Amino acid sequence: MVIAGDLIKRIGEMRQSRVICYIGGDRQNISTRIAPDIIPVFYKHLEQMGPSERIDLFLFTKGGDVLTALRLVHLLYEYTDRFSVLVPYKAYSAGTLVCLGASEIVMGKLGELSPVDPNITSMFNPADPANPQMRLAINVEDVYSYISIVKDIVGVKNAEALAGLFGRLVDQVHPLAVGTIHRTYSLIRLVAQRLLLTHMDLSRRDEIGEIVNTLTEKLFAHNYMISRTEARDTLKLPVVFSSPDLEAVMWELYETYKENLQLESPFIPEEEADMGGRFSVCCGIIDSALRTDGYFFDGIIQKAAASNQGYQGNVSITNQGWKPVERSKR
Amino acid sequence: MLDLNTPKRPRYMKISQKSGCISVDYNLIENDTDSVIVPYDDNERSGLFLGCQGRA
Repeated sequence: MVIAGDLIKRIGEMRQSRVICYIGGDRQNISTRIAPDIIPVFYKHLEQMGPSERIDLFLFTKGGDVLTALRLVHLLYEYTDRFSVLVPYKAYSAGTLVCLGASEIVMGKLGELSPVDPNITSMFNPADPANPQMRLAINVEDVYSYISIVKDIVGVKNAEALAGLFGRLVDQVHPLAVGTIHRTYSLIRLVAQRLLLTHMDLSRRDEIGEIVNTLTEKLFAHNYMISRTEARDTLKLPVVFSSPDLEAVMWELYETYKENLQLESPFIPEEEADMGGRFSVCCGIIDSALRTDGYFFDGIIQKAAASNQGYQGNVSITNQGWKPVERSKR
Repeated sequence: MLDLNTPKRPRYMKISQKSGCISVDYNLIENDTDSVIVPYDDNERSGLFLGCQGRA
């Protein structure tokens, strides 16, 4: 692995800050998401770094757990009053939520945020027609869009007619799934609002409400990619365009992690296993000037007898989780 | 063909629609129309292996 420490140090010098990096790998077949297990790892980094006037979080992620985003931001503010996010490329979904908690979002030309409209999957979701044993994910905003169509576009106002149309919805979607959808609809707004309140005053309630509404329901597609210009000018987020020098170093750092984690080539266990069929692969990194942690999957391929369908085998995961990476091995 | 086999913890829960019994350690039975199977996500963990949350 290539050492990223020099680039982290250079960004820290350019920004007069302490830098911590979170790379949620999106490699095909093996990836990481923002999840509660990152919090103790961040704590170890922040304790080693100590309190600082300014902390920069270098962020690359396609998303994850909503509540972890809020917890992470609160943890970062335990160590600084000025928390910024550096976005070289993707900071989607829960990553965008983390950005909402920053008093400054430094974005490169390729920097992208996304809407924060969650999907839910529970045992009460409708069955997948292609595989009735599996449940379909429901996008929370899709359900509210149905109600909006009925009320605002079709123009149904009568309470009895509305009740009938709601009845049709719960004929298709289990009432408890509808309940979960409503809770999630409220939760995502609450979390986004609380994140913005970490650096915005309550007197800016209307602005906060507008940002939350845009990110949750007004972009109409979960995969909508929000550029830095749109984030600054339309969403009114505290976005700063990175200087050419900073952008170059941020991109080099991203490229270093991309190479280390092999983000552009799929993980194929047979290709990376040793002669005994064992493999250990890193698929996410939390990094700072003083330590590096990686998320590792350790496993073994157990070959089964060849059949007329060709090679067959099983992959068993023997261990997984965050663990320190020796600096020399980075 | 590779199949993810993580015997220590399962990937899915199976819920019997008739009895309401929830099983988290099961073998898939063909033509099992009684059961509903849902991902049994371990939301604490970051890793996703072959699209699933690997168990260890």
